[in-house]
Amino acid sequence: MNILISGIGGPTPRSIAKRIRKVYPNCNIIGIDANKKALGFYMKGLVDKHYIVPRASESNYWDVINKIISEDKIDLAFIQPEFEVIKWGELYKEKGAFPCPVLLPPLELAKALMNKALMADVLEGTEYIPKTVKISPQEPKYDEIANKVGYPCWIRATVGSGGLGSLKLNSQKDLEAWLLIHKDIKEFTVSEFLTGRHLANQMLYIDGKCIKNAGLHCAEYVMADIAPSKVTGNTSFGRLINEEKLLTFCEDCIDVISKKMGLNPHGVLSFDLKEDSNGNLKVTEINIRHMAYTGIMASAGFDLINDTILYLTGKKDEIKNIGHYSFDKDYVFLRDVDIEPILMCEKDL
Amino acid sequence: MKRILVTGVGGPTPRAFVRAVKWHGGETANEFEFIGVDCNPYCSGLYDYTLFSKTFLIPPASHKDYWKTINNVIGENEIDGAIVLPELEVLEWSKNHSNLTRKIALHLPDYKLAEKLYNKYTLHKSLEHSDYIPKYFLINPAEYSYEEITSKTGNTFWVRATEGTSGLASLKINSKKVLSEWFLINSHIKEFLASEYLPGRNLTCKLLFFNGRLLRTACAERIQYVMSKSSPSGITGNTSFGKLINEQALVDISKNAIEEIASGVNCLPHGMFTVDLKEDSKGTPKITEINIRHIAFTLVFAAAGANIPLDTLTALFFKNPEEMDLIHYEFPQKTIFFRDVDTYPVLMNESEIKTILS
Repeated sequence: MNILISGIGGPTPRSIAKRIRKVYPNCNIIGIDANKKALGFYMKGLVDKHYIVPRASESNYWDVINKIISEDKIDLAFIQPEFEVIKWGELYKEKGAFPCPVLLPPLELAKALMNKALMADVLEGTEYIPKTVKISPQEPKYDEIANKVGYPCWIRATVGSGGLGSLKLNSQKDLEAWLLIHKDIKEFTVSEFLTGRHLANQMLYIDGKCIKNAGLHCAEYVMADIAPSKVTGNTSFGRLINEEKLLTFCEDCIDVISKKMGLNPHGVLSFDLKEDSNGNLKVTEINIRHMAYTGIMASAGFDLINDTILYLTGKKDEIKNIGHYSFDKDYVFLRDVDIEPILMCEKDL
Repeated sequence: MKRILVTGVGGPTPRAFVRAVKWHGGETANEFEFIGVDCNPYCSGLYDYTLFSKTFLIPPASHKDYWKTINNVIGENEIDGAIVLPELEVLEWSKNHSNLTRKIALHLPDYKLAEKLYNKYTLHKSLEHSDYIPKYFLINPAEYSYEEITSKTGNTFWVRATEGTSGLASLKINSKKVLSEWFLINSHIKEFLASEYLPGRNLTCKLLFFNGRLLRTACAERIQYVMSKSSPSGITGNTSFGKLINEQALVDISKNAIEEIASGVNCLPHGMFTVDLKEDSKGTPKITEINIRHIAFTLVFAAAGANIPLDTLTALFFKNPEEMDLIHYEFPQKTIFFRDVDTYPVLMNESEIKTILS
């Protein structure tokens, strides 16, 4: 089996590649990335072949991708960087087919979820999201923020990962300062400040049906001190949890979005949520892809990577543990720079 | 077998120290057993049993029970030596190692020197008569004159906290408004250092001193940073892409600076120092920081043959450092490295970088 993995420089595609290597040791992994310094290219044994490809925005992107798919006889692909997910979705919409088997959400859903302001528009007026105002440095909407959201509140860029442009704001002065310092960011969302746990999930949808769903608690962040908000894109300490309320909430939220948009969810979706002061869940982000801890969850039994492969190779019936996944131990994981993730039981801490 | 206590094993640098010895130390690696401690129960190093035979959760260095716990760990595990790397612990041990109840081998700078180097303002002040440092100005964010700062540093300058790691509160400033807003965002920081903006390469020089004698040096260039988008300045404490380089000029500046500062406080340089430098617009390197410890990519140096952690332990236990020759480690041209979360560093040659497929 020949598997193409895009964005192999990033932690999530690398995590997917490592898991495939473990479950399918004889499979050929072809890693691609637009960055010639992508770490995944140079990690010993991670990929069998690698190519530097044009960016998804470049005109020759499809020529190069199609050539790789043809010459390397690609059986299926994992497309992870969000801009590439959109690019592949656009192709599907135009041609009615992908260049090789791949599991991706519908284009409209991907576009709505990738932009936090668009997601907030779709969920406006529901209980799923915190009170949110979309602003820009040119149109800061100070009054609307004061009236609708209030202080303290949370600001972040509408597009981008790694907690880009995020900070807790205690006053309009803080907001003015943050906008001045981040004048290169075009658009932000300002939301109600949520004081509770940062929860997350990963879920697999096939043709509108949620096949599997499992949750986690992101408790601490890698290199938290570098970010003024102390929130970076990578969890350094997390718990794999069995909380029915969380899983049901995420599925209900996707139901609402799908009905509003008139489409069937499909693909791997990953929620980020925060609890408010009363323990109510609020969606802060829905990612249209696996997360960097996907390999860790797979090692603990919730393997959306292998499930994707089974689905794409016509073995959907072999997907095990359908439904809400319950971890059999009190798993926690630890991650950092220069070390492979550690999965262990919390009682052993 | 020597039993070595390693502090702060939650951080990449202490883990890199041990991994350098274990992975690249040859047969000598078998002479050492490592016992790790950290004050954070949720750090990966405490559970990495490929590195540490035992690990212990201890109070922070500022806690009243710190030394009692350290002494218990040292006594019960019959520790022979300690490698202390987090800077706050280096300061604590340098100042108070007399609290130790068992005699163990240590490699720590004199407290007076460590204190001078740890604070970026006192470091700059110590070198202000020289051309080793950029133009600078100490700022009290509660009371300052923007014009006074720019008259010293120029219209574009770099600001950062005087203490702390990972480029804490650092930002390029080019307007009065941005500076005041930055202080508002970082209102918990009471003292900043403004420095002339240096547009050139970001360089580093490691120097191992024993009793005033320089024994080892190695240099690198930092090019990109791990998770750089998470920091407004783009600078984080961890290099994601860099080069190992051979530049004697960096060694000369770094050695002279450390010796001058040590001389100013009447002590001999002793310990591990990592000097950070940045080039000005003319390509002249200026010292921006001197760390009183190894840095996280010390493992990369070791993989390339510059195993300073092993050299340190060798000098502490098996050789007389007075008789060890000075080695300026050199690397093949275009030796580069990559680092990131969830994986070990990769060392390779730039010639192996692929070209675009078209």
